[in-house]
Order: sequence, then C-alpha cells, then structure tokens
Amino acid sequence: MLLEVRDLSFRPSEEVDLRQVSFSVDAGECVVIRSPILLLGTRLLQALIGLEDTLAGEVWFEQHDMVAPLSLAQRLKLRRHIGYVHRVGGLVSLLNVRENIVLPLSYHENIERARLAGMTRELSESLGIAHLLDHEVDELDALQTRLVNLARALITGPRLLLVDAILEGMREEQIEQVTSVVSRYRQRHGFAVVMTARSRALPWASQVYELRDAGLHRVED
Amino acid sequence: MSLLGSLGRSTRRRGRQLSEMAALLGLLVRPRAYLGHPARRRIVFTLFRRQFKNTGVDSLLVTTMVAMLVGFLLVFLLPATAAREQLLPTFSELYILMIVREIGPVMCAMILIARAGTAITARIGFLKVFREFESMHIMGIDPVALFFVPIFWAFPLAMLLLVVYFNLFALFAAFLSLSPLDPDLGARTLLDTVLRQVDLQDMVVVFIKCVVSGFIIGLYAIYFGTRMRGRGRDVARAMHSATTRQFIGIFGANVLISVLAYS
Repeated sequence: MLLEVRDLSFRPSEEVDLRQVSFSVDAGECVVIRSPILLLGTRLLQALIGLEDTLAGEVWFEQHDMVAPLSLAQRLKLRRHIGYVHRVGGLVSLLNVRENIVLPLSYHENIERARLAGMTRELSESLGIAHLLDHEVDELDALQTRLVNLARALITGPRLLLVDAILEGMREEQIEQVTSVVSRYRQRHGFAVVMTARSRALPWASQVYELRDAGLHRVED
Repeated sequence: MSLLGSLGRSTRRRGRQLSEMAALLGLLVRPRAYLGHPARRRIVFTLFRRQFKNTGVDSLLVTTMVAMLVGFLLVFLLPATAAREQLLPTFSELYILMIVREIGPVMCAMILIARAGTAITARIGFLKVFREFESMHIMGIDPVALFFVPIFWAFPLAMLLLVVYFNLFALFAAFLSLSPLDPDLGARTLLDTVLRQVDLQDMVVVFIKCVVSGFIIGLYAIYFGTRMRGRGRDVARAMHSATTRQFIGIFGANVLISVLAYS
C-alpha cells in the first residue's frame, strides 16, 4: 500500500467540514475524488501532505504518518517523492518557467545540466508549453500555470502524484494532451495518482470517491 | 500600571524579535545546507547573481548622482579663506574624514535600503501572500537555504561595491569643482594626495561598516518579509517596520563603529 488515509477529520471551520475520511491507494493506482466544491478537494489533498491543521486521523505514506507532528526537515524529506499539481498558483515567482520546472529536481537530485535541459524540453513539448519556458510566471494564464505545475511534478518521477482539478475549464484537445502525457509518464515511473475533480477527471480511475455530507463516499459505478 | 504593563509587553516583544532574528541569522550564515550540493549551489549562485544585479548594479545610477552632489558640496564647504597651496591638503583631509569614513557608508546604506531593502521585504511579503513558501514546502524545498541566503549575502557585497563607487564619483565631482579654483590641479595629483591620507585602519573600518550595514539591511528585509501573516495589507506594514529599523540600525552601527575605531 502506497498511501493509506485512516479516519482523517478536519478541524471544523466555515470553509471545510470533513470527518472520518478513509481511503487507500496502491502503487500505480489512480483514484479520483469528485468534489462539487473544488476548495474541499484542495484542502483534502493538502491534508495528505501534512499542510492542513487536522483534528484526528492518520495519513500513511511509505511507512510515515504525514499528519503526525514532525520537524520541518523531516516533513520536507518525506514530500520529495510526492508531486503536487496546483489548480491555482503554486509556481515560484522568483524564477521563470524553465527554472520552476527543474526546481524540485535540481534541489533534490544531482543531475547534469544537459540532461536536465533534455528532460525539460521533452516534457514541455509534450504539454505544449515549450514556447513559454523563458517567460516569467506572472505572464502565464491560469491553464498555462497548471500545465507548468504538471510539468514540474512529472519531471521528478514521483511515487505519488496529487492532482488538484487541473482539467476543469480545459478544452477537449487540451484534456486529451494532458491525459496522454500523464499516462506516458505513469507507465514510465509507475506512480499512483490521486486527483480531485468537479466534472473532468482522468479516464483510467480504478476508484472513484465523492466528497459530500462532510465525508468521503465511494462511488460504485 | 497600564504604562508598566505596556512597557513590559513591548520589551517582551522586542526580546522575542531579537531571538527570532538571531535564529534567522544563524540559518543564513550556515553554508553547509546550500553549498554542499552541486545542483543546489547552482540555483543559489543564479539567484545570487540576479539579486546582486538588482541590489547593487541597478543602484549605480542613483549612487553616481548622490556622490557627485556630495562631492560638489564638499568643495563648496571648503574654507573660502584657505590659501591656494592649502586647498589640496584641506580638501583631502575633509574628504577622508567626511566622505570615506562617515558619509559614504551611510549614504550607500540609505540608497540600498530605498532601492533594494524595501523591494525585498515587499517581494518576500508577496511570496507569502500568494502562498509560494507553501508550494516550496510541498516540493520538499527549504526556502531559507535556497532563496534567502543569496538575497542576504548580496547586500554586504553590494554595499562594498557601492561605497567604492560612491567614493570615486564624489572625488571626481570634487575634482571638477576644484579645477576652477586651482587650474594647475591634475587628477593624478588629487588622487595621489587623497590616497596618501588613507591608512589601513580607515580601510578596515569602512569594510566593517559595509559588511555590518549589508547584514542589517538584509536581515531586517528578510525578517519582516517572512513575519507577515499573508494578508495584502501586511506588506505595507512590514516595509514600514523594516525600513525604520534599517535606518536606526545603520546609523547606530556606523556611529558605534566610528566611536570604537577612532576614539
């Protein structure tokens, strides 16, 4: 089991009321969490990496509880194998698009410049963002920002990819392009995917859940 | 009682700020975390070059203008009664005493605060408002080691560059102003006379002032930027707090160093 969420409950607030969320993800599996309110899905994904102030529960990723009290250094170390694709923002404005894409890989691995450039080129061409590589991040629109986020997450070859509703608002051909790129990199690296969605999700989900009535419910169809 | 209470709270707040700043300084001057890893080192140096350009190189124009004005002013302040043969020694003495030792480092620090210190506080504030630190944490990246270290070290280096530049342009402006008073005065003669009056102690003192001022500006800029709560209105407040303390810190440090060195 790659990821196991056990009875995760959020501290109730006006924005979020989620209780006793439980699900598990095996290596290479794809799980979709339908969220009529996108913010709920975002908060749940953030809880999985220990960013939320949760009230109770456990999130086990590779034998470590991500919501347990850990030092910042320990937490950062655990997150290096998780790719996170933000629905809004998420890029570092001190860096341009190319630097953003290679940032986590440059930080965690020691990879030659030429190889890094090749990986960036391949990925950015696949996602149709090669022409944006030398742009500043504040020059991107919302969809381009999501694609750069996706490129940055995929280039690291993560074990778990958390995708926050990035297909919402995309055209059909863009969805196809993103789906095929994620599929190709998934075959190459074998990572699991947890994706939130309101209406558009990756087509190969093995489990589908829905966030409603302050809980997570499995959709059986 | 309420006066005593508010005094106590203020002292406690300042004590907490000092201890937080000491902890931040400890992180910023620890090289192992960011220089021990070749790829990280590459990012750090890229950001350092960028920051050094924003901090130091882009301040050169305003530094030139201020230095020229100060150079003209210094010649204007020369005693009108000074005999022509006394003009050069009197000027050199005043130049070393006022420009090199005192006004140069303080003026450059003020330019740096206005040109780069406030910008850094605002930039870090906006990183916080737009939750960019959070996205770095999500990637398992420590923003202190990667982003603040190059910003921090760019300040003392920029200070050294600006002070040398300031002194040279103040001298150049003085030369232009002195020329009508003493038509036989050559640039080489002026430079030689000034250099003869500079001793090692002056150079060490100016160096220390530059490094300390750079550290003060960088530390306050980063500290108040990172302390923001992530609301847009906090940015202006953070800039105000940082600038006030930078000015006080710069003047205090410069006076203290001069008193210790020359008393």
